[in-house]
Amino acid sequence: MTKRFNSVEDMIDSIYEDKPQAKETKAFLRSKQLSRILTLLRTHANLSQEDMAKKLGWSQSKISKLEHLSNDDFNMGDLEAYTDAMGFNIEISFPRKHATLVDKVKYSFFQMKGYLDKLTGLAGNDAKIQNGVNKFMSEAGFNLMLEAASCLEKGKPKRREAGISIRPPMLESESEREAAELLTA
Amino acid sequence: MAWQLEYAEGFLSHFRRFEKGHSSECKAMLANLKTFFKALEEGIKPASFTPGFVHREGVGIKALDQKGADLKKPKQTRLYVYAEEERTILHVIIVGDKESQSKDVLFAKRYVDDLRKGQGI
Repeated sequence: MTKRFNSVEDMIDSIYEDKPQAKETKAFLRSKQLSRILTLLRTHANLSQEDMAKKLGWSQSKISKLEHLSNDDFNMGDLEAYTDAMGFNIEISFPRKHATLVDKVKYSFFQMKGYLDKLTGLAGNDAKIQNGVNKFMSEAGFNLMLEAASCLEKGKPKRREAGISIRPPMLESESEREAAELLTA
Repeated sequence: MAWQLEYAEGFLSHFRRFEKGHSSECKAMLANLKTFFKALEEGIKPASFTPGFVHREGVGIKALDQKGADLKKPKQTRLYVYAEEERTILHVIIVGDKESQSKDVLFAKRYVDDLRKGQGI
């Protein structure tokens, strides 16, 4: 049977017999992460390299070059202009190196709480907007609980099924019950 | 979308031989393969994904080139792939350079033809 891979990285491990070379190739792939994101964002926006070049007043070859740059070679100004042309902002975050997944969940939670507070603040004394915000909050709260419950369910340890389960027989009539009682007495 | 990769019979040994003389180009083609694969996973149709490194070779075959290689003058190389949308499998068929291009395209076309025949398409 032909071997299948879930990622290009898994395929690389199979291609290169030399482990350091596989590692080096995967590092090269990681170094292109930012340019990969830009290419995919542009495609999702249904824009060709030519369209982008026109929007930015750049040459198409500059767009092509940008979409193959290594992470280290990006110029912040070009990156900002490119993302802005597609209607995106850039956010840079500085998570601690040793932050655990739990830390990240907590961080995201407080960040989200901040956004929700901002949203509430926007409503001010306008009853109509406040009503809309409340409706959104209820929906968001419900969806969050639903997702949390789904995660909880996935995390539950699977109960081991016994090979044979023994239960008392299901009896149809009173006489059968009496007979069974006699037998077990 | 859960896509998977599968390489054609003989691809592995062929790639290993080819890679010896084209190490940087191969790395770049694999980086471009990663971008192509990611596009499929994000639901982009293979036909509508047309960045500069993707060349159409007919019957759905795409040749991914070495753009992005860390060389001043990289050699023109191609990695031939076919995205089978029905089973969400990206077939990695053959690797080659400009000299072997016509032979490689023919091989890739035969591969896709056999694949389709096998599925009654």
